[in-house]
Amino acid sequence: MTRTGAPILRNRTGKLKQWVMNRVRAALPGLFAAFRRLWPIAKIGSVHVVTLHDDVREVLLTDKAFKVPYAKKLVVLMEGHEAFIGMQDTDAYRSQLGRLESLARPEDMDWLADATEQRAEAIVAASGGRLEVVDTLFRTVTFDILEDYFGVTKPEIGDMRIWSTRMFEYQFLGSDESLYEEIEWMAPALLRHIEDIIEKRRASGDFSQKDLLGRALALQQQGEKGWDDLFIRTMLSALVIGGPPQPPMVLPQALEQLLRRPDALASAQKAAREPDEALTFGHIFEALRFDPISPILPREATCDCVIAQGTKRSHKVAKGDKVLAAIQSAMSDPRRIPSPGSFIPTRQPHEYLHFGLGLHECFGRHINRAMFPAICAPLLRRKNLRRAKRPAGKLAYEGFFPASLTVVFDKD
Amino acid sequence: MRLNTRSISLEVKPSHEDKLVRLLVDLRGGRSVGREGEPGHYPDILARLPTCHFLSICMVESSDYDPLLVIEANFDGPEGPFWAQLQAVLGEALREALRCCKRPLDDTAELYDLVTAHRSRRDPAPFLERHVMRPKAFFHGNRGLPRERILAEKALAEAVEQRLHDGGGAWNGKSSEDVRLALRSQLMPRFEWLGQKPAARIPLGESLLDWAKLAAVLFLVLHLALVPGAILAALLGNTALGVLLALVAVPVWLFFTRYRRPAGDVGTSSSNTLLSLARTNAFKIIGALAVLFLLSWPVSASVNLVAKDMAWPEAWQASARQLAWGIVWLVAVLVPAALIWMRYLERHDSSQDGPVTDPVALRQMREMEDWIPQNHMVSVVSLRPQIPRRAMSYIGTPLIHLALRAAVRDGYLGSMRTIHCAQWAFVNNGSRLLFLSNYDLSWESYFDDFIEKAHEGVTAVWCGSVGFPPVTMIIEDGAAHGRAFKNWARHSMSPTRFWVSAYPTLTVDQIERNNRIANGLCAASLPPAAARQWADDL
Repeated sequence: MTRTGAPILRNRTGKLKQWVMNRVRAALPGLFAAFRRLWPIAKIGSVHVVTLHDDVREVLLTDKAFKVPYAKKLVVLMEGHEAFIGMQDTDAYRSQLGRLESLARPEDMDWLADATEQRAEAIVAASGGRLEVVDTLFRTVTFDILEDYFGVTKPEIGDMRIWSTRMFEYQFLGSDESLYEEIEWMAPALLRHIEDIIEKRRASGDFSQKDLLGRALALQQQGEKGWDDLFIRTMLSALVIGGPPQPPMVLPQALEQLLRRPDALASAQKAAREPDEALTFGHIFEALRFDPISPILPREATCDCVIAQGTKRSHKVAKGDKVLAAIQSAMSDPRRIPSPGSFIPTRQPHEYLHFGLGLHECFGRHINRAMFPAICAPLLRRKNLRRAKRPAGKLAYEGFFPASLTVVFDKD
Repeated sequence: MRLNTRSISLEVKPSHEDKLVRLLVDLRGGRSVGREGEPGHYPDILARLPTCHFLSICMVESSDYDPLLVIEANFDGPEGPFWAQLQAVLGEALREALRCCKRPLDDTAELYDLVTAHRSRRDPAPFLERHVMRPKAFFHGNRGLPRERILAEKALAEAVEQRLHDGGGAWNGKSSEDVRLALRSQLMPRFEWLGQKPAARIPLGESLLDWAKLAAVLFLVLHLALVPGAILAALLGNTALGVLLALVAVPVWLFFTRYRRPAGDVGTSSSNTLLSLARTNAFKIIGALAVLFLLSWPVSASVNLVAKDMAWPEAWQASARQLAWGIVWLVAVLVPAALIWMRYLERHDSSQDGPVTDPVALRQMREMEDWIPQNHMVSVVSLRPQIPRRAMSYIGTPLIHLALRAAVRDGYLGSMRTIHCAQWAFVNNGSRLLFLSNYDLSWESYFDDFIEKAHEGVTAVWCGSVGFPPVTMIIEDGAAHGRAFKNWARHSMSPTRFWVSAYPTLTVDQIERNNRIANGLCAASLPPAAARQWADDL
């Protein structure tokens, strides 16, 4: 629940539907294994499901032939303006991305990690040995820290967590009528809120370099080309929609996978206590390989083309067809991933596709790289970390979103 | 985890030769952290190829053929993940190297085009995989030791050495077992695996499989060799067969006796080895023929039963007679006749006594050798065209491999133990023999070892190669012509421009020593004699 009293996640999935969704999610590794062996590029109607590691990489890397299908919905969210996450590889795309990348600096990552860990530690320490992690820890810390980092403060009316999560759901997951009704007022509300923030910051003359908005306004003030209010607003809005909803989705799933594997959990706790930040991240990333944020990344064919051309499984795709790149399957493909069934936190970076690949590789990957271990470490350092008794100790979902997971640990 | 040895050979466009050389030199120069020119130290590559023991990328050059790009890899575990790792590490350099190669004419041409196209993002790994060659023969000096274990045991051996050094006189007067137990308890916190029983290097199943493969192939070859005699026995009566045998065998043996000795001045101290071997192993050969008889009997009886519609007792009896004659014909006629054929070829072979090695290539080879205790060599030789030669190469090389695999468990080839990983593969549609080796000490001493301690095996493998020193009876002379063999071998070699070793400071012997130290420390207790033997390694 939020401070406005409204639930952050929509409670619209019936029990039976949720049960079926959970079962399908659990069955995916087996299904993908069967597909890889029997039907590596499956065509179902005009949808092509690509499951082999090589082919998934090919689809993601061939962005000219397989574009991201996000543009249509982004137009709704951005009031008709384009944002880089939905664009093809054009000069405009490169320009947008380049400007945005110039705002986020490598040295920010240390600050992000430190701030995140402090905030997480405070929450864990105050929990008294029992903690619901999805909302209380992961969502709270992520939104608090990223709002500060982006320079997008909380709205006076409404709740940024709801806006952001709903718009993320609309953009990447589903779009039923009731959700669209909410988006119709939330999207303009978010844009007006950001415009308001921009106005206030400019009026106050606060162009401090501590957040992205301040840096953007400073560049605008210096007369740098391309830093108009519309661009700043659109970029901040894209970041708010695409960024903060993700950690509260992936980190509970990672923790759930660790809780299922006592040896891996013990090893992750050891890494967190040492502290070995890279190895802690390795544990989280590896846990996510067994249950990633999205098992597939959708693409749309821009022309008649062929996947796996030059091989025996060469497969034609017609213009306009949907292509689902099954990254979960690719990350478990024994043809390319050594011992895919084993939990190995020291895997090579190329074995993971959590952040996608190629043109639309996640913009927030460096931010996530800094924040993931920092959020989890305070919890992992606790002694005797374990699930609470069921049902609270079981990861529950609302639709695609993790809703709750309660853990207990020994008090210091 | 099983150590795999693989190689890839692709023809290079002559016009792109210089570009490929520059690429390989850049690859080395940009990554090596050793002294200038020193190969083998590539921590970034090794960290991202966690299962790799040895990796080399060379361009093999000769005036007789267009250059070859040769990628050699020795790695633990399955292939697919390894090629993906290599692709991730070398990435665009690998694609650029492929662009220097000729477009294949087989069904990989389309994939080649896609991988090498301008601004292509298609992964090169699937293309490389299609060109991976399994060697016809390979040898591993430290068989059964994964890279991880070699490095862990190296760290342990260094820690033991450090403890012994730090302890100074405190160790004096202690029994071997006391020293061992003290070291074990001191090192256990750092090396937790000392508390576990070490995994068997060559599991029983793998050993049995090695022997089973060798036995199956030998049986197949020898059983087929019995067929001519057995067919004659089926067609002729004993008297006629005896007369025919006498008529054929006598001249064959007369020829054999006349031609078996080395011609002219090609004889060396190794002459007469084959017959000596046959004489000293006569009982084993007789035993093997008896086993062959027993194993072939049911096969032959079944053939008689089906083909001649015989009853079982009759079929057993007939097949026993046929096999007995088959063995007699094999020993009395086929083997000496085959050797006469080989001797005829050997006497007419040309050998290259004074091959000219390109001085620039020779300088480059020498510049890259002897920086570390290990070295690498790549050699490609053309095969002689005659049928028995090719048959010897195509059948003999895998047979030698199976025999080595089954019989050599301790890394010793003859009395030499300096080879980490070596492989023989046929390239250019089987017309050339590629040899790749990662070995200890200098090239000179490596080849001296070959010449002195294993020249029969070396001669058997290379006797079908163009220019090889004169050979007698398949395994005699040949490599025993030391200087000529070395010159010929150098001539066939090319500089190794990019070479990675996962443990560049370790020799095969040191790895074995480290393994013995580690195994000893893993034991909770050792009998006094075993403890003393263990302490000898310290």
